Amino acid sequence: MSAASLYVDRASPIHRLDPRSTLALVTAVFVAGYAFDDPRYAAVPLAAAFVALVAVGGWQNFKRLSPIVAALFLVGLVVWPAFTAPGGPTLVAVGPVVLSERELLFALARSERIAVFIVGGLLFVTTTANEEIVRGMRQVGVPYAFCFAVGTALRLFPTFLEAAGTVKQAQEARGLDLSDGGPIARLRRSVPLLIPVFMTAFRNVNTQSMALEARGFDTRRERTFYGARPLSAADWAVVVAAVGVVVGVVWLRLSGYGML
Amino acid sequence: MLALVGHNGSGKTTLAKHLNGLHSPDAGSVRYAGREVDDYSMSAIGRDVGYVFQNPDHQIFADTVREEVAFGPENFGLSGDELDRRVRRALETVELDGLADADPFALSKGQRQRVALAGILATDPSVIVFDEPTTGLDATQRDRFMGLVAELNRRERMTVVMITHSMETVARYAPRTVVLRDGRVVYDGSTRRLFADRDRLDANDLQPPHVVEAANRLAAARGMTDALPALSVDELAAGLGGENA
Repeated sequence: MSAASLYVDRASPIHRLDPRSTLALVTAVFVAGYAFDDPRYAAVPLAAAFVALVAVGGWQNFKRLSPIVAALFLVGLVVWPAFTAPGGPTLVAVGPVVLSERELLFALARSERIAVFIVGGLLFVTTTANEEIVRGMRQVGVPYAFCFAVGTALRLFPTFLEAAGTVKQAQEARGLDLSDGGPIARLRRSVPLLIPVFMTAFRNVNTQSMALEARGFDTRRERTFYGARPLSAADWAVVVAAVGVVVGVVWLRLSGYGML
Repeated sequence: MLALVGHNGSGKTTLAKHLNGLHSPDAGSVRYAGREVDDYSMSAIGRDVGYVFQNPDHQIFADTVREEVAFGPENFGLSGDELDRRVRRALETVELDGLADADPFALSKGQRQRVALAGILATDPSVIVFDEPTTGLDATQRDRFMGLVAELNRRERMTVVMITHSMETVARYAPRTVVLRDGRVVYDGSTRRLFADRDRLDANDLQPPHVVEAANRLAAARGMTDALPALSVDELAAGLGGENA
């Protein structure tokens, strides 16, 4: 994996797809993940996306974001029950904390929904180079300014992480200890990390925007793409399969499947 | 004062970050004062071995220069008069005592570099590691900064390890140089001997400063094959019979 990108250069079947087909595939995964309230149904697209991500060499990318996914499920268990009515047998009853089966399933499904977006998005960026992402999005009609912003954000993400790592080392070398204390104390101690990270990011963005303008960058003009090619039979097959998944998922949902 | 040189990717920063425990060795050992660096806590080794990062913006966060400089010693348990004294002294050393209440983000790059140095000096380390200390500084700022570092080395007996690509800085300030190539030490010795060895310099893509190059050519022209070169203009002028001869 290149240090400058989340893209993993492999020759997997998903890597070989046109970015528009990969986009269709990932969109189908998103729709399938979003459609159901029952975590057993929502787990299917999540598991499929995860298996595909690992199969195409994206495990390291997932590991980078795994703390976020873990936090998502942990925080979700606390937050989501507040947004649904209790139902079914009571699973936990400790003092004022009461968790019913329905609340637990609802929380799991909601966390799975968000996790699908993370894992599906990672699958997309792991298998599609930045310039291909920009081309794919533009070819399906997304405004170029937005495509460029997405491409730039993805390219800068690893740089941002690297800067955050250096800042952490610089402050640890001056005795900053983030490992102990409660959440409030840790949050307060993270200020010496957050300010340099964001200041560095702002300075970089400012310099980059000036460098772009100095080279006559203009988002309004139409673009041509060197790597543009028509969709192959395999690409079309994936697009048709993705449409089939979306139609099937919508039909299942309208038929009452995957509800709590 | 020791210079750590080598081409990009040769392992200079990786090696330097082992000196204060930011990295741990996969093989071999790194020792400070007879003990493995890994056996020290981060705060214990940080107190003795300060590390000034290449980009001061990777550490500056406080509203005032004073708070920024006090951050390290405060983390190491200092407070009250002793903390004030350390901060004042560090700011005086880097000649920023008039800017104690200034916003560090509003200072020039050279001044921010000195704020970063003051932040380390205030922890009163025995060793300071600099990662490319003169990058982004103009000639005046560079001379001033390196003069300060040399003064700390001479007067305070502080061990200085500096990573640099500036051979002029190496020649002028570091009597000992370590050359790294592909993660291995390929030279560890006198800077003067290194600059006298054209083959070794070429093999490691090192270009001696003009004054050293001139001294080497003059020596060769006079048939002085074993002569060691002058490392500064002053030395060259003296060698040629000029001032301080």
